[in-house]
Amino acid sequence: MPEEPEDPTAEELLEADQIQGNILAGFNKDHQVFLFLRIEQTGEKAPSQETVAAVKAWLRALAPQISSLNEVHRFNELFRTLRARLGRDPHGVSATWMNIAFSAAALEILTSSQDVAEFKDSFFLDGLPARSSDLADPTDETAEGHPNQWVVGGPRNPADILVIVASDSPAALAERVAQLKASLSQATLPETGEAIGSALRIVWEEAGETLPPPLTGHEHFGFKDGISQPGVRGLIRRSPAEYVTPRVIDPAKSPQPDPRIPEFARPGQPLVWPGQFVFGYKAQNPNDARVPREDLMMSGPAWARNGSYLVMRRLRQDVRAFRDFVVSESARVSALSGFEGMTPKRFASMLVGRWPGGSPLARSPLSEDEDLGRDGFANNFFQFELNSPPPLELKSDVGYNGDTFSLSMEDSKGAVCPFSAHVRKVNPRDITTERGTRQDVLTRLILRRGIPFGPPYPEDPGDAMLATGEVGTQRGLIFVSYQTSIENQFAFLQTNWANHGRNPNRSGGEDPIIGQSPDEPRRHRFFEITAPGHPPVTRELVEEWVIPTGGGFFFSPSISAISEVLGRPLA
Amino acid sequence: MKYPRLDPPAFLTDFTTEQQRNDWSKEVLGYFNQGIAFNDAFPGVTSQFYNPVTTETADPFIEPLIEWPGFPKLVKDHFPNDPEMAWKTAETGANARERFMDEYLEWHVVRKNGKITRVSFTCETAQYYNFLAKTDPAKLLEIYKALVDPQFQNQVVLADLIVGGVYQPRNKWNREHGAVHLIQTNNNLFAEVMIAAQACILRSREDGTPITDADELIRCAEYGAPGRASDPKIGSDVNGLSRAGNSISLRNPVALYLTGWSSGGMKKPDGSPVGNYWKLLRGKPSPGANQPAMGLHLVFEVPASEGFVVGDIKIGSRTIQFGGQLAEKINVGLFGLVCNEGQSNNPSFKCGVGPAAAEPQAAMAAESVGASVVQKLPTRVPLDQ
Repeated sequence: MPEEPEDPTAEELLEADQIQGNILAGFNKDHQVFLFLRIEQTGEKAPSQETVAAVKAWLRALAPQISSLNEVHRFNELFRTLRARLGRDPHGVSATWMNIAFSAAALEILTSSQDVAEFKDSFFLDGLPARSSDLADPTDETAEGHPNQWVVGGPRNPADILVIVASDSPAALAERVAQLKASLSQATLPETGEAIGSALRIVWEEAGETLPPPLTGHEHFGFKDGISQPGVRGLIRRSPAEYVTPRVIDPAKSPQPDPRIPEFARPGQPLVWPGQFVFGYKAQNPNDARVPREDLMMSGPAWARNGSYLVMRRLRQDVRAFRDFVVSESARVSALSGFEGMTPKRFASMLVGRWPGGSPLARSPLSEDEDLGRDGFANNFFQFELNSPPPLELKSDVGYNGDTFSLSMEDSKGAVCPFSAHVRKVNPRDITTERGTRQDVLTRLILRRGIPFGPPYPEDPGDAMLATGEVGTQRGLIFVSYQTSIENQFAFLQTNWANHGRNPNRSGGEDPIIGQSPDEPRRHRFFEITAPGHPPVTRELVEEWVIPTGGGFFFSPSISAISEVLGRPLA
Repeated sequence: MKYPRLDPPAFLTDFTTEQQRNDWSKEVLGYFNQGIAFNDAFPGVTSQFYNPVTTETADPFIEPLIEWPGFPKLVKDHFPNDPEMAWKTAETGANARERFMDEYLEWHVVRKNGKITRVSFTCETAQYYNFLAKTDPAKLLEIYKALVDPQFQNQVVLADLIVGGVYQPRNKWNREHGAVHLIQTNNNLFAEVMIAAQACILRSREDGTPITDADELIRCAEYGAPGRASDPKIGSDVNGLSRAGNSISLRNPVALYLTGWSSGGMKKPDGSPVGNYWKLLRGKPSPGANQPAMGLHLVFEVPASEGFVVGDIKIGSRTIQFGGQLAEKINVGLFGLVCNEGQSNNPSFKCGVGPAAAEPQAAMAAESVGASVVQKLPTRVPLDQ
C-alpha cells in the first residue's frame, strides 16, 4: 500500500550505512575492548596544528573501518536465524566490530567552538567529571568514587576519544586492537610523513568480557542483565519492509489498536521513536505513546544527524559488600511478621526486582522460576500498577509455544516488587510517575550496551583465593548507554529516580543497586519493603556496593561526519 | 478517628482566636462538602470522597503523599532539549506567573546588577490570605512584610492589599515585589479538593473497560488539563485508590506543600559544593531523611558572609540565571487520607458524563451521553496564548 507522506506515524527509513552499529543494533559481543585516547596537548594549551592534522588524518583512515548499523544489524539477524534453526549459538560465525565516540572537548578541537555550542545538552557540554556531583557521586575528593580518584575520565586522566572494539573471538579482538594500536604508533601523515603516535595517546584500556558459565549473561552480583531494552521504530529497508527492531507479535491474533498504550515489538518491549536515540529523526511525544513529536530530534549542528550521545560509566561492584548485606539483612528481615523464611536469594532479588535467572518478581513473587527467566518472550512481559493484559500471541514463524506463566498482578503497594527495586526504579512501566504517565516514561528510556569487566567473584572465597588476590581484584560493569539527551534520559534516570527516595513510585527509598544518596557525607540510602497486609518496613543501607570509577560523556557521530567533518583536513 | 477540625496549613500559628480556627476549618470543609455533593449526584454513587471531620476514618488508614516537580511540565515539554528556553519562558513577561507557573508553585526573582540574589517560592493559596484579610488584616500585613523582597518590606501598606473591603490577591506586592501566595487561576485550594473529589468517580471507555491512564482520565472526567504534572497525577493516584474501593479524603492540615528541595549539583564559584542556602520561612521542615516536608514559603539566598550571590552559583557549567533552575529542585505535593480498602463498589461512568444527567454505565445508552452537563474546573491557559 502506498504510504501517505503526511502520515505523522509513518516510520522513517534509517540511514543504516551512516549510523554506528552499536547504537541501535548493539554489538552483543562477549569480548570487547574500550580504548580511551587523549589528544596530546601540553598543559592547558590547545593541541598544536600538527597534532590536530595528525588526528584528522587518523580519523579519515579509520572511518571506513567503523561498523555501521547496516552491517551489525545484518550480522545479528543472520546469527539469530541460525540460532533459531540450530537451537544453539552457531559455531564459526563471527564478526569483529569497531565504533568511536568523542568528548565535547575533542569535538571542539576537531571542529569549532561554534559547532559544539549548537549541542544543547549541558551534561554533554560540561563533561562527566563536572557533572559527577549532579549524579550524586561522592564529593569527598579522597573517596574512590570522586572523579579525582577515577582510573579514567577524571580531571587527572581525561579522555577525548573512546574506541570500542568488539568480537565473538578473543583472537580476532586481540588482532584488531593490535592493528588499532599500530595505527596510532606507526601510521604517518600522508601529507608530511609525520608519525601519528605523537598526537594520540592511550590513557586507559579496559577489557569487557561476558562472565564465564554459570554467570554468562549475568552481572557480577549474579543477576541476568540487559533483558529489558526499548524497541526502536524505523526501517532498515522499505521494500520489503525490514524494521530495525524485529516485530514478533502477530497483528492478526494480537492486534494492538489502542493508541493510548504503547505498541510492543515483542512482549514487554515498547516501540519508541528513533529520535530518542539518534539525531535527525522523529522523537517520542511525552503525551502520546504512538504519535511522535512534531519536530525532529536535532539539537546539535547539522552534522550531528545520525549521531548519538554515548554515556560510559565504569562501575566497580563490591560483591563482598553486597553479599554480606544481603545475608545479614535477610536474616534480620526474616524475624519480621510477613517476611518469615526470607532467604538471601529472595532478599537480593527484591533489591533487583528480578530473580538471578531473570524472572521478574512481578510474575514469580516468592520463588525463582528458571524457565520464565530463560523465556525471552515472557520474562519482560509485566507491569506494576495494573493487572497484566493477556499474553500477546507471536507470529507463527517465531516458533513460540505461548506464554503460560502466571501473569503480573496489580502491585500498587509494592508488596510484590518493592517500589525501589532496581527494575521498578529505572523503568516504572505503567506507573504514573511524578512527571507524568506511562507515555512520559517512554521518553526516559535508554539503549544499554554494557558488559562486565574483571573476573567473577569466587563462589567460596577461602584463604587460597584471598592469597591469590582473586577477591581483591576489581570487577564491575562497563555501563554504556545511547540516547539523544543525557539530561532527559541517562541523567534523569539516575538523579530523579534512582537517587530519589520517593520518585517515581511515591515512596520506597533510593535504588539499592545503582542509586546514590546525595546526603553527604553519610550517603546512607533507604530501602522499603512491604509484605501483603503489613505496613512497610524501612531498612537503612549504609554501604555502597556500586562505585563509579571512571567514564565520560561522548558523542558517537555518523560515519560520514567522522571522515568529512571531524577528519576534514585543516584549511 | 475523626479530626475535631481542619487546622491551618502546616499548623501555622497565624490565627489568634478560636473563631478564626473554626471558621477556617468550616471554609475548607465547605469545599469537601461540595466535592461530596458532586459525587453523590451521580446515580448509584455513594461518595468515596469524605469529610474527615464528620465521617470516621477507620483503622487502618494510610496517608499517601502525592507529589510532582514544581517547574511547569507544559513549558518543560515545549522545549525538551533546550532547558534554558524553558526556564526563560516560565518567568518572562508581566503575566508569567499566571500564564506558565501552573504546578502549584510560583516564584519571584530578585536581581541586583543583573545577577540573581534571592528567589522566593510559594505554594500558599489565595483562599488563606483572603481569609486572613477578612479576619485579621494586621496579621496579613505582617506576613506580607515578612515575605516580599526585603528592600520593600517597609513600603507595604494595608491599603494596597485590601481595597474597598475586598482583598486584592494580584496586588503589586504579590506580583512585582514578591510571591506571597499563588495567583495562577487554577493554583488554589478549592481546585486541590475538587480534583481529589472528582477523581474518585470511576470512569470507563465505551467498551466498558476501566480507564486508568492519568491523561485519559483527566480528558474523560475533565477535572484539569492533561500534559501537566500535578492535576493528572492527583487524579490518577486518587482514582487508583478509588478503584481499589477505598474511602478517600485529605490529611489534616489540608494544603499544598513544598515536600522536598535539594542543592544537588550546585557549586560555589570556587567549584566546591554549596552549603544549605534554602530558608523555610513558613511551614514545617522534613522530620527526617526521606520524609516529606510541609513547606509553604521557601527562599534561596546566599548568606552575605559567603561573598557571592545566587547568580554566581553554578549547576554544572551553567550559572543560575533563572528562578526556574531552582524550581526544578523543588517538589510540590499533598497528603491523602485513605481507609476502608475494598469496601466501596461504585458504578463507573463514561467520559463526559457529569452528575446532572449521569446514569450508571451498564444502564446508559451511548447517545444519551451528550445530554449531560459536565461540571468543569477552569482549564489552564495554553502555552501559545
